[in-house]
Amino acid sequence: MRPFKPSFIFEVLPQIIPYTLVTLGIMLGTVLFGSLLGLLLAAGKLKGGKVLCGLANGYTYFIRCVPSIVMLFIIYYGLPELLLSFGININNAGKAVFVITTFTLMFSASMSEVFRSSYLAIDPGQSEAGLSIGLSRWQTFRRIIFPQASAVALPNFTNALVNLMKEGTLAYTIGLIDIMGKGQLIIGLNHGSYALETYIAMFIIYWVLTLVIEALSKRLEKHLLRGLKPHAEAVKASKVSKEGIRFREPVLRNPLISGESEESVVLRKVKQTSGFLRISVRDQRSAKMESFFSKD
Amino acid sequence: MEIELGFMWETFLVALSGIPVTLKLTFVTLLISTPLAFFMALGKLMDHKISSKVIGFYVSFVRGTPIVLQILFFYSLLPTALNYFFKNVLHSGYNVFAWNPIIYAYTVFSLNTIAVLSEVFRSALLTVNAGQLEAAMSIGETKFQAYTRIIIPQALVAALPNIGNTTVSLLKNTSLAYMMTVKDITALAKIEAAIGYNYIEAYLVILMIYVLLCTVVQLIFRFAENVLSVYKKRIEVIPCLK
Repeated sequence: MRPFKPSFIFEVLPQIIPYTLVTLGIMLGTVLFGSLLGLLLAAGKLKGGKVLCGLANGYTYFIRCVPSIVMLFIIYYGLPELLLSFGININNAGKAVFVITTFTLMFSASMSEVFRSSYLAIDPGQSEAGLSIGLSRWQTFRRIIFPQASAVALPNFTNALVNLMKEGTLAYTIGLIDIMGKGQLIIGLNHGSYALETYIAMFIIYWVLTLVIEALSKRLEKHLLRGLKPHAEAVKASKVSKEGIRFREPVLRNPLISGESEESVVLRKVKQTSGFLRISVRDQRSAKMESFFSKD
Repeated sequence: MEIELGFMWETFLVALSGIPVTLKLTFVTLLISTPLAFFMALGKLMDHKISSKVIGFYVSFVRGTPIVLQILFFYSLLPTALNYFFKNVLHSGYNVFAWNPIIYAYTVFSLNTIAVLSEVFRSALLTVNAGQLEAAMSIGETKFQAYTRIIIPQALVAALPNIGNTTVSLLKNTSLAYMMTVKDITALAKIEAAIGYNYIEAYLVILMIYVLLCTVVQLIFRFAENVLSVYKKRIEVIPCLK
């Protein structure tokens, strides 16, 4: 067995690193198109009629069940044929086109859930309050709803983005030369030797990319949530005075939420407990009414 | 665009015989990873400095790198390393390469799933109020009893939707097992397609089978959720009655 040669990792790193740009480019294209499609899907889920909502939900369900690699190959082999039957020839199109198309379809499904859940997380009272003080609809959205919704959406978006990057490595199977593709090429050029060292170099690059994305997102989240700080302190203070109220951690239903940072958990709790306080007061009232009526 | 329906039907029948392999991959992996992930979650919650650092490192690594890369790495590392171990350390003529490659698939998918599940369990255990454990111990239960009777049943309800998601993504990831020459749905359909270059049809078949399997898995989890969350419906009334 050939001995392991750690120094090769550092030889191969500078060769692969430039291809990070390809990976990031693919991600950027996918995020652009995927977010647009995701926005449409979310609009369909929230505001569409029965048919549109059903279609959007069905699409999301369907995509959730499809492995990326299967989708990638269907697009890679199927899309040119499909378009050819309409008289459009894309057989000469770059591989990036197929990769972006595939991951746009995959990414839009998770983005639609991100948009939907963040929109629903904002209390309708917020937009009513905005309108009541004389802001226009657009101003209310831009100044009141969007800043809050984006803070809610950010951790989920980051998760989706990291997932996209990881799934995007599959693009090498159709021959795209990104980080993974370049690594495979190098292994091929060395006739399969130094494979482990090359894989480790790629591990390092992907890991660093993930950590950087997560750190940036955390920073941005802190910035977006700066308005909540006084509110958080107020909730903390009220927690001491109202002992009877129980604070429940919500069940993480959204598949995208599960990987959120501890800080965002705390802030989400703050947001949700403030809603919970209101709800619990109403429930208490209705419970009293119920017990009042059932006594007779 | 022409789609050969006859070929699709044939491929469908061939790929159906790959379903047991895919399911085996999914469930054996889950069986291996669930207990390990649970103890890992406990280890992280213990606030022991070294153990939680090591676990955090491991989880961050697995979640920060693509599974394809993990598969390729371990599939090129493990067989040769094991072979070296048997030949030069144990000095036995044992042939590692005769093993079914599904063993490596179990290993890689388990390594991956343990990390994901440990986070799921950790967040689920955090949803259970610390007072629950104290209450259980105060009425004379041992810590083990408190966990098995009080904490875990409650945490499981919180964890179940996420376990379901993990299972679905694991099921999807097993389609990459063909890289380790495991003959699952994807591999069988691909082999079938390579004969006549009918890739579109073969991949459509694979897609249908995955959607089918995924639906079944989700239905099972929805059923389990309904069964396990029975206790919740009674308890949630209490804060309102005050």
